[in-house]
Amino acid sequence: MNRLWPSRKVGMLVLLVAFALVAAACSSGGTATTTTTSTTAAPAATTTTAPPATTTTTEPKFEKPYGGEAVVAQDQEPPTLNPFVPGGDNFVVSIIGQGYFAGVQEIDGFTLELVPELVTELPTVSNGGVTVNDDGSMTVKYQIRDEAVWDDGTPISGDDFQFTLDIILDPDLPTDKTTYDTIVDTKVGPKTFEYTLSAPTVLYELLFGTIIPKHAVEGTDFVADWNEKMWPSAGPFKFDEWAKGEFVHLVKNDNYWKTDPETGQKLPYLDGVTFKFIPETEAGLNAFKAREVDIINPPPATESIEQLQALESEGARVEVLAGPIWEHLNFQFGPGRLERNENSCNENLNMRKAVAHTIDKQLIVDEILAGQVEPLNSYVDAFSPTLSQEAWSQYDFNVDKAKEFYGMAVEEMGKDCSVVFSTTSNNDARVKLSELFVDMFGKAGIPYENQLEDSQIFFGETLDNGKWDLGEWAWVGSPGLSGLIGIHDVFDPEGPPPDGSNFYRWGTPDSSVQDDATARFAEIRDEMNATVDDKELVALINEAENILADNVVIFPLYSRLDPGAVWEDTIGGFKHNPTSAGITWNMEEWYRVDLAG
Amino acid sequence: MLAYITRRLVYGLVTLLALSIIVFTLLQLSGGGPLDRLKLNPRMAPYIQALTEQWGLDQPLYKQYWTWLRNYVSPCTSTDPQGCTSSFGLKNAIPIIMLVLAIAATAFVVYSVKNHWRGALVLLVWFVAILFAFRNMSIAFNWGISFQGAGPVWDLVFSRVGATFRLGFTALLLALMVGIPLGIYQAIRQYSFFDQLGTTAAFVAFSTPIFVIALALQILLALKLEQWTGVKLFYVTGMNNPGYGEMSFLQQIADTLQHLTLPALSIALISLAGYSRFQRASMLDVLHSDYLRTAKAKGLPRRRIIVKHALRNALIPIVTLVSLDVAFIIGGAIITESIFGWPGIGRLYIVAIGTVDYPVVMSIVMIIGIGIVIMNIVADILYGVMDPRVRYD
Repeated sequence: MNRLWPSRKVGMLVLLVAFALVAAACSSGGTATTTTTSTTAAPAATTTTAPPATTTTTEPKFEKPYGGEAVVAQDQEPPTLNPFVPGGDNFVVSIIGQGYFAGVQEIDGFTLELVPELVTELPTVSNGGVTVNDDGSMTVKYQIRDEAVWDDGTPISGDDFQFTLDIILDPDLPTDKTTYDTIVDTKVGPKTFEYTLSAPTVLYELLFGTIIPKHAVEGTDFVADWNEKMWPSAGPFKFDEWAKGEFVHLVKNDNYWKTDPETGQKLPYLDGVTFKFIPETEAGLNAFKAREVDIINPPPATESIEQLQALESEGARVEVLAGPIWEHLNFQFGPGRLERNENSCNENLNMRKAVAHTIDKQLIVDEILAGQVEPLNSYVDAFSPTLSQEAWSQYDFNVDKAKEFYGMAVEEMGKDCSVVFSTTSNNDARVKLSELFVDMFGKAGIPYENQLEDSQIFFGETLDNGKWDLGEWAWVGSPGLSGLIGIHDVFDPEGPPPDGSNFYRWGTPDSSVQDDATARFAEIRDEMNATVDDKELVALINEAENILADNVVIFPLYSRLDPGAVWEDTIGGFKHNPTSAGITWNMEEWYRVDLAG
Repeated sequence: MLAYITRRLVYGLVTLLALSIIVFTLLQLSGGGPLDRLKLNPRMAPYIQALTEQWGLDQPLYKQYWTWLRNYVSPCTSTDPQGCTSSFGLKNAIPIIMLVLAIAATAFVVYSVKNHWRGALVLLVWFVAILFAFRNMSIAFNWGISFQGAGPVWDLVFSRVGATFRLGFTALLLALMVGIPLGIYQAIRQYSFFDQLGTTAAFVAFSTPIFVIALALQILLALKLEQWTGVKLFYVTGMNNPGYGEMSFLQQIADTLQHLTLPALSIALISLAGYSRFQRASMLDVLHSDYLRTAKAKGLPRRRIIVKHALRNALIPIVTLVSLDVAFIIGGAIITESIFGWPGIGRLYIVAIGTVDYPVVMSIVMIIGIGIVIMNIVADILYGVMDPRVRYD
């Protein structure tokens, strides 16, 4: 009989061998998984409690080696490299840009405070860098470092600052002009730049975060020409290549002026850094396990963190820090809430207090974040922890108190008050939160219902029209006073949407709550935006925090985790920075451990 | 046949128009907008307003749709404000001329070559024409600009085509090379151990979600294999390593294979399961037909019966399947590309949906739609060419 295959036996043998190989692979994988799981728990606790300074204690004191490259995993790809055009506000643009952008200030990863970068010191009232003028305007002066140059050797000058301002303020360019549009005058010197704002504002702190080189950009099409390539670098690396959908590659800037404060060596150490785009978290973790990437900053899922911590015995170091993104529970005070819940009693303070005492924040942190951070007792913690009064600590988890306040609310409102909770349904942590709330509100005897929505709907129509009762989402904190001052805009009774950002409609003209507290808060907010005096600002921030806490306008829950991991036997000098500066804030200090003699 | 093709093209255009209206409407109804991500920054209101006006998002929906449609079918001009990067001139007509020539050549082949392989010749001509057209692609349509700041949509989409084709056609080739012989062999050895094993494996592959297959391949063939052997055979993510351009030719091939194998395999596993099942069923139909019984009775050798008489007819239904797969390849493998960090259209599409980037989403949906319409027509024509019983009325 003729056969299509040379031999049936050979075919069977091949199949059997293949089956055996697969079986062996599966059984081996199973064993490995078991081992990994068993080692996960112990390191988790150790790493979480490890102080940030751990890095410095493990750093070698010898001269660090030059050469080699590092690969960083990124779950997002930048839509553009230009931080001034639409899409440039994407976080990954600044993460990669740490390599070649430079500006007035940067965020130190150890102190989490603003420190000078291109300038000799950050201007303040006390050092004479900021002056409030008699006419009510405010002047800010920058002294640019003498040694600061672009990668082509051209000195960074006041002209570059002026050019940056001109670009931002160009009415034909789609740039964010916020605060810059209040600059009324400038003075330019070779190594100085001075500008006057029409009124005092602490927002000057974050201006000129990225400077554009005039000599390279002038005469180009700013919107079209700088999306896929980058102007001369002022940072430790310079742009080399962007393979769309794959990676961005940076190479060493030989004209970088900084030296390592520890060893006095010229920076940077590495010859290049590659940012590899891996959108899937699991794939990113696999790439890290396979050592295709040296550094990873995955989304803050506890499962991912546990996977990373299981690699610590193999040479990985994992830092799990409380990040700048803070989740909070909030009440809607506008009429839109009644469309969601006709029994909403958010205007009643006792109802809001009942809700506050109903929430078991420790349980939430334990369940959602595996207990890796402390519950949040104030939004101020996400900005400047030293200024926080922990004002929400007055609302402990207490079912009896919750029942008592709820009883008073029902009596005062004359109806069976209830709660309808809305948040985004495509966020696992928030879905888990809504599940936990069912039990918590049940114990407090408060009628409760979950109505979660897709994030596009929630942050679209729902947010715009105030159509929620009890809501939950996150804001992003940032170091310095300006971020802290800025967050108060979202409670401003004089700033209802669409022109303002008071989505809660607390004290707005259509609000169900308009009282002395809202009136005073509006005054505080105006005063905050009109002074740069540190002491005065701190007093105002304290007062604002107390008003918001005493009136339970919001209820802070927790800061999201921000994990970062590095193969420490490969890359040295890494220190995770949980602020907007991100994991690359000190990439000039990274070096290849395996090249050390 | 010309009337048939014309009629199908007209139907196709109507279908595409309806598709664009439905997708545009669904995008609007889905809630949210491209600027919502900025809304949570308390100081962005003036900026949001400026972008809303610039992108025409404050216009009535029918105007937004009309603007999009008009732009979509308009070639770029150098004065276009939407950021087109190339202009339409004589040089740009090369791809169109090539495609017209290819169509003429196809017609010639269909009517002049009188053997059973003319279908394959038609496919070859088309493949060469498309390849040539893409190699000389300098035509550009004004598909607008990405709302996420990623530049002209035309450039964005076509920068991903190469990667998608590389992955898709490799997977298709793998699936065909393994799936069809597998199906044939299963049919010949019906109910044998091999057939049962193949059937079980096909159902397992079919019923396993592709992300499970992809991640399993990553873990088994990239992570574990390296741990066991100490040799890095396959990469978990990416299409090439940095520095690919400076590698030698052999290094480039090795680098490409190391990156391509796992994503191609994960797609091919599912496709080949389908092909093998289809091929098996089709082959069994033919094997049980009367004319083959006659051939056997006449004493023809088994190999000749199978290869010459059965296989040719059993391959006909597969043509439709392959044609539609080619259309889906054009749209990219959304999940696989995301998991393997493959820079193709599918991954671009998923990012665009997440960021409510209407122009990009619309463009990719329309590309897939156009691909399906064209490949459907091609499949129907090929079907008629390969099976003389089919007539076009």
